[in-house]
Amino acid sequence: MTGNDAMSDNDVLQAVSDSVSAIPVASRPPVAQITLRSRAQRRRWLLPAAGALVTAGAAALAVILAMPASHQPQARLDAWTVSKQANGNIQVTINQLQDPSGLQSTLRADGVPASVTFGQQSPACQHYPQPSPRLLQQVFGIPAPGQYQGPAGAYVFDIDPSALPSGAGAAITVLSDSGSGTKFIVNQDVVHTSPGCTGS
Amino acid sequence: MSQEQTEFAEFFESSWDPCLRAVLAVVGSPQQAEDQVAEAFARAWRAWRRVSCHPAPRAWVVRTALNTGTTWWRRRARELPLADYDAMVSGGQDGGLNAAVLAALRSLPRRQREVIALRVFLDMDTGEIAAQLGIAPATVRVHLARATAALRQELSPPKTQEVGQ
Repeated sequence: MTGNDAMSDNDVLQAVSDSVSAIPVASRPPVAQITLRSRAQRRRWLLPAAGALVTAGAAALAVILAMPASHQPQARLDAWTVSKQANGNIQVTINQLQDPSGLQSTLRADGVPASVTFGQQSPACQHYPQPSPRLLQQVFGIPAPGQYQGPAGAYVFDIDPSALPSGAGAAITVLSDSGSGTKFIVNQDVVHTSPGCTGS
Repeated sequence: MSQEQTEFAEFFESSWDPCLRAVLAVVGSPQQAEDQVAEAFARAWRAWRRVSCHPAPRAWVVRTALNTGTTWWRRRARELPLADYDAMVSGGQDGGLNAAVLAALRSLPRRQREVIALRVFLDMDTGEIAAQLGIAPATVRVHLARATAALRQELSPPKTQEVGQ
């Protein structure tokens, strides 16, 4: 080849492809290794957040104690608690995998069209209308599906009822994940309201 | 296995290699590329709802891996200053063309390497690359043209001199 036989753009790009593809790399890891790494990421990222949460929690407790009794948290049970925050959000804390129907009733009583199941999502629930990350972020404040082992092994998350579009409700599905060392896997979803799913 | 897990597993298995090669083309070190791509896939799984709806999920993984690399690189810079890449370029492969291509690739500015990587390994067109990198399509064309010109110059053999009679 001489200078007159300059490589075409395609030749150049093909040479790059061939050369980089020839670099020896390790074989693809099993997908389970990636999902485990994902869990480790969450724990790593949430550790500093947990510290901030404790500080914020102390401040919030002071505010709650200063409230009149009618505005204090509405339900406190062993398995889970539901409390209304000053900003209108509903905060859910799950301590044990018990009484999903009670949690569901409490959320509905607080104005959240909700479906709560432990194990798998109710087949009566349908996504609203496509899984929208922005909507999930607005309603739940954290990416979904998510895992969060909070302080003392509890799972804590907020629901912003005002962020739910008309005709939409919250579906909470909680799974036990003791095998991986994480206590819960919680899937949060926004679904169409219906009698079979959210009760109305 | 849930439907989401199945979808993610399929995506992971079909996308690992092109994503790894794309990141490798930019960062140069197989070890670093593998670590960053694994990290990016782990993040993709954590945000799978969002990523599965992304118009170019492989590009999302590559961008995330490269962004992750900024932190990784800062952490590792003092320990492994391009050691893998240097070894690769100087020693390994089948010498010759591969080594020359990798050395030429390394000499390009990072943005040009990113454009090349997305074009070659993710088969993205100018508009898609522009959208992923957050730059104008015309800028992508300029980067691509400069990169291919520079690579061509490095890879084409020197001109043979015509000797007079």
